[in-house]
Amino acid sequence: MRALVTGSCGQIGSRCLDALRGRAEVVGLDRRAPADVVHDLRTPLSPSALEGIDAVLHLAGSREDVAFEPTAAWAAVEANVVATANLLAAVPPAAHVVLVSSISAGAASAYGASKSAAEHVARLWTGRLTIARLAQVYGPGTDPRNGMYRMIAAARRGEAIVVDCRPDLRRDYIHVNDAARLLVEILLGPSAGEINVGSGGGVAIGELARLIAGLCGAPPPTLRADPPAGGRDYVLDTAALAARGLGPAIGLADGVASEIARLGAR
Amino acid sequence: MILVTGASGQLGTALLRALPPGRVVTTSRRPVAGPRHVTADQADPGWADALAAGAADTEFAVLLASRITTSTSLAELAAQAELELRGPLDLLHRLPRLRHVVYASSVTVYRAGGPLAEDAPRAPANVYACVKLLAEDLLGVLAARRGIPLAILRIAQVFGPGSPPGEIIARMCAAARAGRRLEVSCGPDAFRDYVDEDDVAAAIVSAIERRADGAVNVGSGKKTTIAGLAAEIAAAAGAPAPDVTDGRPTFSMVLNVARARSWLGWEARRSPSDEIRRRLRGP
Repeated sequence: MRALVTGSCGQIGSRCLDALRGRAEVVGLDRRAPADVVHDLRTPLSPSALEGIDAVLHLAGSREDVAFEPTAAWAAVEANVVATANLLAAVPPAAHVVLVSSISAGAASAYGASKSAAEHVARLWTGRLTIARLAQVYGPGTDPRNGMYRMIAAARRGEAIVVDCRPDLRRDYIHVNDAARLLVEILLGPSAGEINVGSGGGVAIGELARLIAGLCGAPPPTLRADPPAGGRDYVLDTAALAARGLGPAIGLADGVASEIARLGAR
Repeated sequence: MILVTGASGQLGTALLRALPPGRVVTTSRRPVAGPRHVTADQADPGWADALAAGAADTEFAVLLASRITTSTSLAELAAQAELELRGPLDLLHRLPRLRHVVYASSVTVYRAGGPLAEDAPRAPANVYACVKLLAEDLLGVLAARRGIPLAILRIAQVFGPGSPPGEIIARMCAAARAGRRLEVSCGPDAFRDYVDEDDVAAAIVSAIERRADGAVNVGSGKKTTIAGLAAEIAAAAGAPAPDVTDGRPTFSMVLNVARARSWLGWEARRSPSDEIRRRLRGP
């Protein structure tokens, strides 16, 4: 078994490489060194570069979600849609491809539109395909602009976390180590059509804020008396994952505590 | 001013017949006679610059420029996205007076079947349709961000005098007039939704006038079987009855056009039969 991981230098990809070692011959592809194949997927890839590959975990892409200005919108198209097409055009027809998509696919942002389009593009590929939608990944390497990390930063400064939105809105977090391990199991398993990789229930934003404040010894979170109406839950249905006997091993409280410990005392 | 991209194409030509020339600025690779024109190729990186300079007074933009392909080759996606999307994404931010956008999408974003309403699942089956879907969503995000209403017109199969020779009614009429037996390889039941180019132009004009915001199907709402179309053309031309075989499956679909009626006050007027009569009467 020869397995290709794209985005192999990234937060999730590097952990997938580690999780695959000993179970497959691993080839990492990234636009940055050190990768076995250094290639920017926004440009065409020669099929000869992927000869003998049996399984492909496609993680490469941009997770920037700031993309409302046109250049950023086009950047999301190139990084998430064009790159997927260029990769699949070069993949051997018998390989199992796992396209890593997102809980935000289809959301009203340039990122959400690009991830949704990447799923549609991948379905044009005629080989064995699994679309794996990831919940919000946290753990070492997470962008500090992520909501959880902004809360942790405030709590570590000893400030009360301010919850701007409705505190009952739910979010779905999965630790990067769980995400990598589960993606590798999906890659090495049978093709599954679509499978969601999440916590299986999520957490209310207010509850997450209380958890973080408690762990940091910060004052209780400040909730707005009159939060803006609207907003929606972002929680994945993980029934298909559970049916395979798979699920996360790191609970949210433990995962968040380890992140706070890693970031150090305030 | 109303900016029309892809103005030299079939829909562009029809739309220019329906709009007051003094209010229109056109753009296309090829020059267009009549209104103010900016010759620019949407595939070029300087396209939006050229329009920002030459059409800065645009208040209404009608994005028709496209390249139809039925390719499913993933290697072609990059070029198709670059052509269809990159310029318009840029352009949306370069026209300071922009108040409304019409984007010409396609029924090919849908899964086959019907009657399909606008909330039917989208399931593009080729590179062209994937890029249309992406353009719908991304233009939607950017337009919403700027507070500009965006009409996404999902246009059925277009016929009319401006059709390219390969369009099915044009092709079958030409063959039948030459006395040839028509061949239909998609079986007796495959159907489509056909709409006339001038009817589409009228829908676009209405979308602009009413500042339509959201996806609207633009079609006849009527099933026309391809075998029935062939039989009608053969009979009208005095050609032998068509040879209908069950060959490759095709994309059978028909639209639900209730929203076009209520949002645009519009419905298709000309039918494929009208077009067949026109073509077979001609010289």
